[in-house]
Amino acid sequence: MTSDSVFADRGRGLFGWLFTTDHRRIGLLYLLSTTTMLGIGGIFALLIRLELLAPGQQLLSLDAYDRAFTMHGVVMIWLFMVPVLPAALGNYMVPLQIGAPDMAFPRLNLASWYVYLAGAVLVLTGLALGGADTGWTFYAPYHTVTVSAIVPVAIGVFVVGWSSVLTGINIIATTHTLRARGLGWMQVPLLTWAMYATSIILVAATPVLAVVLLLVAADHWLHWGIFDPARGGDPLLYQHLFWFYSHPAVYIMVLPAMGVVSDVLPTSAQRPPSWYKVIVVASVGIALVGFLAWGHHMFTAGMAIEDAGVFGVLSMLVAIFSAAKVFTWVGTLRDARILALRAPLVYALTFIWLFVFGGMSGVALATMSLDVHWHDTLFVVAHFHFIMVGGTLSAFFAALFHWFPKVTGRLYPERLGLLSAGLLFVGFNLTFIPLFLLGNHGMVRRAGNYAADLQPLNDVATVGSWVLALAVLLPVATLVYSAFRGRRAGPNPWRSRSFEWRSDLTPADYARGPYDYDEEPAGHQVHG
Amino acid sequence: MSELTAELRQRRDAARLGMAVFLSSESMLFGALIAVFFALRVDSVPAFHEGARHALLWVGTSGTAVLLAASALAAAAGELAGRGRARATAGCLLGAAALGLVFLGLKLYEYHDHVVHGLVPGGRLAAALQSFWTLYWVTTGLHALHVLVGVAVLTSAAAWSVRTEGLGERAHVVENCADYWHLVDAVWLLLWPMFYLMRGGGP
Repeated sequence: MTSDSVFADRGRGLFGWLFTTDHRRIGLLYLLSTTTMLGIGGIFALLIRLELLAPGQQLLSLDAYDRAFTMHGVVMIWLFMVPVLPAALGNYMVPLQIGAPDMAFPRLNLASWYVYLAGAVLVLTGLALGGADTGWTFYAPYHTVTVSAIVPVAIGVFVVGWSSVLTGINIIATTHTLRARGLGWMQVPLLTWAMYATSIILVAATPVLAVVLLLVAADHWLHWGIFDPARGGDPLLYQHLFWFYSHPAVYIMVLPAMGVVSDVLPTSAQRPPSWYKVIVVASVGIALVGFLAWGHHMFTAGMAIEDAGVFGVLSMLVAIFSAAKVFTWVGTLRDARILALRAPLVYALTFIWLFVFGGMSGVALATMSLDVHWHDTLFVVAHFHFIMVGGTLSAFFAALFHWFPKVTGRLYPERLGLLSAGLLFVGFNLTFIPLFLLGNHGMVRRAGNYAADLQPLNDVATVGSWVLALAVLLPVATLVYSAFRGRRAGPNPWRSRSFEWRSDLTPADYARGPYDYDEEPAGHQVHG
Repeated sequence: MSELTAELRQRRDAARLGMAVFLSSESMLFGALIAVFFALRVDSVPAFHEGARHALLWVGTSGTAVLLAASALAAAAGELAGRGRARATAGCLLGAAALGLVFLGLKLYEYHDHVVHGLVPGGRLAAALQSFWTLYWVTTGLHALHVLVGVAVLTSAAAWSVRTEGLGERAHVVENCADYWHLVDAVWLLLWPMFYLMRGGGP
């Protein structure tokens, strides 16, 4: 493990960053670019909520509203949430967590960032050309008949997908072949396990999305009509293929977030996770079963009852793995003798809250009889924002605060950190709990207008979106300021036993694992 | 291969695994298209039979033979590289690349023939035939693109193997290039029956 700072030494200046093959610098390049996308996607979110402040038209025409929610989804999902944790955090932490000198393929790693950048530029070009208006799912026949800039957006997402594949290959090969001597699979830190499981999805599912988007571009551009019923195509086939990628993609966003929580909690509680192996098995299990659950997105699109039943049951299997993780996290907290109240812990608790309620509403939605009522309403929007967005955002900030001293060598002001975490909890619930209620009341998604009696709840959600904006801006400002002016941190301010925080590790240290805390209360059985 | 240093062995293992993972990713790429083919075929078998009857069977079949021969040469190159025989390795790789070019030539001839006969989706084709020809162009086009990349990969591997000291210890590079070529070949072994052989009308 290298102990030199990522900011110092070889390759100062812009070129030292643009041509770096240092996994830490590539991670930070990804962090900078994905966080920029979070800002752009967030502006669209604020516009959507502002339009919905009152019934009738406020500041967006119905057409502009379609483009706003489409670009919000496209930018947030493909340019922020899918890449941010694997490519930014994974790049930085996976080699450090397994004692590898770097990723297995450092040049490929840098290439993946440029591929990401090229894709992002294409998507933003599409945005400058007016954006797409099909929704982020590009359903047929919307994509066959739209006059908006669907082609650059779809091709951009296609290109970004390949950067995901390259990152996935790198993480898998690194974890397999570059673990330090003494570090067996069952001593691999849980964040790295999560990144590994995520990479399986990145590598296996992304190519399917790539093919679909190529066909979408051909459909729209060349009028080939593979998904267009007017030309003999099959729009339902599009949905199958799209969700074959996009359902596992949910786990691309959630699995690394779970990994963050799994590693933040033992450090905060100064004790091993209450059941390490369960989290490992559940991570890989979610990655694999996630491939078989896509049909639950299509219950109302024309599906045999029997198929719906099978897809529903398979979807609920994911919930079993997820619940096992939640119980393990809670167990880790339950017997902690000390619990350091720091921002990462509050973010991790926020994650658990959002994940439990997002997940349980997901189990409900995986039941066809209930889904028929909620489908295409704001209930679904609230559900997937809870689980994907809330999950990713809270884990993203937990990770930023938790590993901030590792990356910058400095501390952040804890009060501002706690305030940021509190704002996220309040803002998120304020924004999205009303959407559950509105959806249950029948308010459809993707509509720029609504009946007057729905205004109070919509207003609460809009105010919530402002709190949420603050909850993003405050921590970013805090961390940027602290990176330059924060108090110096020692090498391991949280007294973590995880490998990335320690130096001069021997094979025997690695063999004792990353959760080698000795403050375990007597009489408590440690599993795994 | 017994004298490898630890670092070289680690690099070899990473490279072999990385290529295997990449190829499984590529399999999903073509796998998706193949799944689409069969999903759409279920509802319009006669149209798909008719489409296949318009593809040039002799091109598809000789293309298969050419690709199989190229794969044999690529496999031999991997073996020879392991024994450190640089010139023979390069010869086999260049032979495989040349056969790849022959395949592309055959395919270009066939594409030209299709365009002349209007077998291009989006135009005046009947609706039932649109799906077959869309999939034909997208899938074989994507495959041809892979062949083109493969030719470049094999050619640069040939140049690399005559330049490299201690080729025997770095044979995994050649083996990786050969594996990529085998995938391109294996995909074609599925496309050949899909687009040429399943034309109906007989046992």
